[in-house]
Amino acid sequence: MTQPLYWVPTLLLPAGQDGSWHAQRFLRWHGGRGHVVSGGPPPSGPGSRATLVPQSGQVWHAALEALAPDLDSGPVDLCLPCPPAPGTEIWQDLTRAVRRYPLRRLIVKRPAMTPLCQIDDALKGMTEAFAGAEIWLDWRTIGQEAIAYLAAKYPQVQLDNVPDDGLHQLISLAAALHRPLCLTDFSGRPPVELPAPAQPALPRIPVAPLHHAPVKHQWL
Amino acid sequence: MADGGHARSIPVLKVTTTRACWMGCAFCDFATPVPLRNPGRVAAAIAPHQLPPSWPREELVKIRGGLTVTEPFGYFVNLVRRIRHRTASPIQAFSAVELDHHHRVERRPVHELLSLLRDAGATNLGPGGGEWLIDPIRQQLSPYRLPAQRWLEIAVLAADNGISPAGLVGVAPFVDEEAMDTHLTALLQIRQLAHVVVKPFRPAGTKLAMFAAPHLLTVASIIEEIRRRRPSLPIYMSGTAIGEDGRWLLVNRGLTAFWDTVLEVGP
Ligand code: SF4
Repeated sequence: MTQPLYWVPTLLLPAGQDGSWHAQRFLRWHGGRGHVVSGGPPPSGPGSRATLVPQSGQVWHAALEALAPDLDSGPVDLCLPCPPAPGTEIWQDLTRAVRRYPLRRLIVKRPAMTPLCQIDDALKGMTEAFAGAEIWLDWRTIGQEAIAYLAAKYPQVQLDNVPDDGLHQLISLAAALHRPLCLTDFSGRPPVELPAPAQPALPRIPVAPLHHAPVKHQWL
Repeated sequence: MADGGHARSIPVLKVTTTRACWMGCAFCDFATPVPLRNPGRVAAAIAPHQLPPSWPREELVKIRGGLTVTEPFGYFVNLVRRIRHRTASPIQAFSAVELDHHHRVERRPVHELLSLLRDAGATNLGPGGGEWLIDPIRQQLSPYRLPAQRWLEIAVLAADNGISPAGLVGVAPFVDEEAMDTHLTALLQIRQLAHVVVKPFRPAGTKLAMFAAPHLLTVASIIEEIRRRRPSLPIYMSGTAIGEDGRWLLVNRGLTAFWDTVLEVGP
């Protein structure tokens, strides 16, 4: 089967809030699948979790600049701005992070004004240099047209942070790529394939018998 | 072609003659029903003197619109002539649908209408609004439209009369791969095609609003297919609603340039 495109509903809970109420409902609305990224202690319940600060036994949802060399941590979802090119400072930081931390995902964001060709080159470099890493593209910063281009060119990458109101775009992207779309999270439960929406039927246009074009003939 | 990562843009002056059209094609947002009992209520087509005194630099003039119920063909020939006096750019005027309409209404041969257009300064015959060269689709979505074979004949006749015809490739969710293959085969057999215009279906305001617009990648794959079949044929597309990334993508798949409207004149 072709590699599915995943939809991971994601909820971001800021620090200092007990997010259990939100998380419970968010997960219920998504059939028990979803990923909750929390600033404080992770709420319990189904779905998967990550935290914005390192906590033992939790996946750390970390920005590249937050990774200090002496920090111990469990698995990391690493968010980084698209690295300009191999050899640059960000690229070196990234290489060090990949070696140093047990990375679960690399989440690539697009800084403002970054041309698509630069993201394309960076992804090419990343897929070659970090062949085993899971690369995810940030839906909100990369933009629909660029997402389409990159998802077609790099079938191994996935899309992160797709909001509910982006689902119809994700569905049409999956259809255009001829890939199944699956609802999932990182809890280890099997993904649920989402059936493609039915195509509407073409309407019948009522046809009146017309023997000549219906125009005013006063100028003939 | 891609120029340092940027897609080429051709500035276009778009002249819309009228937004009303009796033909009522399901895919068209010009399909405003015409009150036939009282044609005087229909907004008249743009008059030649309504052209603005000046406009931004353009490299193409496109004249298109609905099928008028109040003006004769000579009215539009005059419009083309007025525009020709103001610019040296190519003028793409009307399409086989309009020619067939005026031919039926005024009972004048199509080649005569074409000669009038050419002498007034038109260089290209436009591709029409939703020309899938597949009769069952035409009958279903646009039952009063001229048949596919007739469209092809008029395109060839235009070329013989010194007006290069343009082709249309409409990308829509209700045109499947097989239908698209039939359409491309019929269209691209015209050796004298000046260019092809790729037009993604825009459902808003049409009778087919229940369909989604085609995905950018579907548009890209059809551009690729046209390019594969006719490697040197210019392929254009309107730049409306396409961002920089989309342009880059489509030009890399074989699109020649985007048509960007610098001014739209019309009712
Ligand atoms: S596609 Fe052309 S003929 Fe059909 S309704 Fe629109 S303007 Fe009229």
